[in-house]
Amino acid sequence: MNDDQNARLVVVFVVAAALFNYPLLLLTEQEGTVWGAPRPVVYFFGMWALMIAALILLNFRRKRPKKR
Amino acid sequence: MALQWVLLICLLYVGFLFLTAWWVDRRTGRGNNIVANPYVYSLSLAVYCTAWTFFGSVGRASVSGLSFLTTYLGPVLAVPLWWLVLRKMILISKQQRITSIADFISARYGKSTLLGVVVTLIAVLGIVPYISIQLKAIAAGIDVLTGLPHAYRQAGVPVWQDVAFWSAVSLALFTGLFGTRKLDPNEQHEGLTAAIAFESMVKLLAFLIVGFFITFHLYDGFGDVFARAAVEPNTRRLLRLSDSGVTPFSWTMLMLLSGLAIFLLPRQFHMGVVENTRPGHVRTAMWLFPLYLLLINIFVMPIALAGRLELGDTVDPDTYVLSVPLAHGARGIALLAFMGGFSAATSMVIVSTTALSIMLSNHVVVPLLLRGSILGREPHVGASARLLDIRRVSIIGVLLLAYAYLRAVSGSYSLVSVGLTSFTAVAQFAPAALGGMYWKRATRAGAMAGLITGFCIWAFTLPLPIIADAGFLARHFETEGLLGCRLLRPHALFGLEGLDPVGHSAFWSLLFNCLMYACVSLWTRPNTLSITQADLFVNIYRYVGDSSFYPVDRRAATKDVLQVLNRFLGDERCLQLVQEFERRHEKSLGQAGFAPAEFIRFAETHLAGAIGSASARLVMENIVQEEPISSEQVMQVLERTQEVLRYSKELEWHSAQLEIATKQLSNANKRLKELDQMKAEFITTVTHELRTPITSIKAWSKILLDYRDTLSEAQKVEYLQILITESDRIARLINQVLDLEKLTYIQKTDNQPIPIGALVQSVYTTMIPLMEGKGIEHRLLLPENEVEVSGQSDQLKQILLNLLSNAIKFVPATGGAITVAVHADAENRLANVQVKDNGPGVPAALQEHIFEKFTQVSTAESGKPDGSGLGLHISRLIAEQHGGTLRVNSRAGEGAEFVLALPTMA
Repeated sequence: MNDDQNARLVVVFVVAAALFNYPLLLLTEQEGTVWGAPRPVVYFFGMWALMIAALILLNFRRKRPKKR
Repeated sequence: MALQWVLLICLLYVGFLFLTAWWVDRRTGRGNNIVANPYVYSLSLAVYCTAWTFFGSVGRASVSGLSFLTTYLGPVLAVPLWWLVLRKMILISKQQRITSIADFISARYGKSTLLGVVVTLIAVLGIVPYISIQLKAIAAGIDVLTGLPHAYRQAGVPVWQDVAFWSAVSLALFTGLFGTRKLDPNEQHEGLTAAIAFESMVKLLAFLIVGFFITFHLYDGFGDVFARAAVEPNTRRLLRLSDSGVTPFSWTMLMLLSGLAIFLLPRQFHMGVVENTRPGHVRTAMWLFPLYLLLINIFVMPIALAGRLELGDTVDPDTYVLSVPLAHGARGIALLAFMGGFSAATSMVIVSTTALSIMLSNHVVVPLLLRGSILGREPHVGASARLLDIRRVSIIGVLLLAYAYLRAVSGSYSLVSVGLTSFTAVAQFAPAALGGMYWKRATRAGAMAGLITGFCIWAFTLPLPIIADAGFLARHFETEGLLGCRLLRPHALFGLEGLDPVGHSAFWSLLFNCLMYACVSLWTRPNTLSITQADLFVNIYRYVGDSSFYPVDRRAATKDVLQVLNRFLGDERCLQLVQEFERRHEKSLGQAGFAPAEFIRFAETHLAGAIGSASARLVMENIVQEEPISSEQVMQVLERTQEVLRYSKELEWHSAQLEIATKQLSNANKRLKELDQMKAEFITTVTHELRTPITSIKAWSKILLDYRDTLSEAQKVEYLQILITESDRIARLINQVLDLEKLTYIQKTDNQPIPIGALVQSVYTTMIPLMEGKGIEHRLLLPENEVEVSGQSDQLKQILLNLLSNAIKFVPATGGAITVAVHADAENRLANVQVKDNGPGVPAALQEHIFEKFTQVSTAESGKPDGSGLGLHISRLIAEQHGGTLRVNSRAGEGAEFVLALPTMA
């Protein structure tokens, strides 16, 4: 893993830390539901899944330079 | 459901786990390690999910909504940093054979025994409440399933009738069987890892099935549960973050605590670092672990809402996972839910108590025994068996302590609130452990001060009020403050009110912990071993694969080292190690004589695996003559560094020199090329100059030869005269070229003092006949006092001859006038010789040009003058070789004045 990959992981951390903390959590305060579920529930699990997707993507990207 | 059936199922489950572990251990013994893969590793990290997750999250969600998520979002946030932090921890721990978080911190600060003791005590006191809630969860689960009253809440129930007590005892036995079956130098238990990974599967599947059953069988999916919850005011508030009762500050604090816990909890350190077989496995765990957490949390809200809607406060919300299926008559599902919770609780208890027992035996009991010389000197006692006994006793002790805490305190608190108390305690390790991995300057005193300060604030603000509430302490200090000082109230320390207890405690304890850590570190000096260890920790990537770094020489008899290994690791293992060492270093040890330094180090690291680095150092100290680290040795270590520095400086200097030399060489090359070019030009010019008179000589000679009969005598004389003149011209040219070569390549020899006035006069005198012959008016002006210059009179005479003959050549045919003057310029210490004529002068543009080689000023009127064009060039060269100058002052048409300035002698 090179420095770029390390830096990318730090970026994921910073973005996720912003998403899962106030003040961005105020975004979930509006009334209403998304796909039948309350907004906060959809927000948390949606962002969580996106983060996992980002980590999987970085995990598989890492191996590519070896093949070249 | 009858109690005996539930107990039987639990026993069967545990029996199955034990068989799994045994089977895996046997396979590993044959060299087939099936747990050494990234998926098992990821699942084993899910030991993070305990009964707190299985029962407590639902309870928490049914009271304060989504805030239960902080416990999982913290670790999920930490996951991207695993590659940087967790992997570094693993590399350090493998290098140093570190076996616990206490070992990690103690090793970082110079293998300090005292620090190991402090960390172990904080860990035990911090984790005991956490273990107690697992016992509570198991007991409560059995109570709910069997319909018995909650025994642990009734103070009157004798201990031997309490389900929780028997849970503690059976778990102690089971953990003892698991974690202390053998003393492994790497402290790796493949069977344990396999069992924990299996339990992670069980609890995840159980929770998903229960959640699916409630959400899709009892309700019509997520939408239905949420829609019904939105109608009831009691449950509607749970769906909004702002109504959850968690402030933005405590939200962030809770995430911070759980994010730190994933690195620092003894059981997480054990599974994530100690049991890790390859650092690369972290890569897979980085996405699998967050995925696991997501899945195990996805049904928490629906179950909590269903429980709140149907059962409300008629049962403990922490048991909704069991109560809701039971209320609908689904006993099978309830039993499955119980098994999931049971597996979550047992996995936590097994790993935590194993980790704590390792810490207790390696960092508290063994050092005490060694100091008391019980283990250290007794010959040939099976210390290895004794170590296992120590661990078994530690396990029983920890579990009984947890049971006592449950009896006394935890019964009346929710699972999550007790668990958070433990998280806050464990977070105190953060500055010493994580800071020590990146900050070299941190010292043992700093770590100690930070840990103790943080622990004291934690103890005062979290468990103390709880213990007081349970009736063990007078409660007035909670409202009046310690010793009546209102600034020292446990829930409003220094007057800070309005925070929840956990956020409040975490803030103050971590703040002071960090401050003390940093400040005390900066005001103290680390010892030598600390410096070495700090470098090993901070720059671990440099040391990976190299274990040869140890600055201090140590001596010990080979048989002593072997005896120690034998005592602590057993015969078989000791023999194995010796063979491994001999193979790796390709040398035979033998029994007699001194052990090589590498073998002492080798033995110590392997011993560290069994009894911790601090204890291993104590053991080795008994047999090793370690020269007390003198300032001389410190200097040696430093000198080694200095030497390297010096080498690198020298290298830099050499490369700079090389650069300069290269530059000089390239300059010389350039100069050489220029000279070569000049030479070529010079030869071209000289040959050209030679050709002119030769052509002329040849032509006249031919005429003389062809017409020798017809030419008159007078004509013949005239032509011969021409031949002589031209020959003279060639001779002059050759002489001057020779002069020039001589001047350029032969350095001046010895100089003599020359009275310049006399010299000028002698040259002038020889030229008088010539000037008078041409009718030139001439005069000579000499100074009153003779001036002496240093130089060679022949060469100086040549300049003067040159200047005078030039002047004679250029004065007009009638009315020519030449003035030669010498005067001393005392101010600049120069002697000036002026030769002035009234010829055509030198145009300003050509005044420098005339001093170059082969230049002659030719004008339309005068035509090309005779001469080689070398005279002035040679004169200037001579002047410069004497340290003087030769220049001309002139304006076209007004004559020329040549000035030779020579430095006078002192």
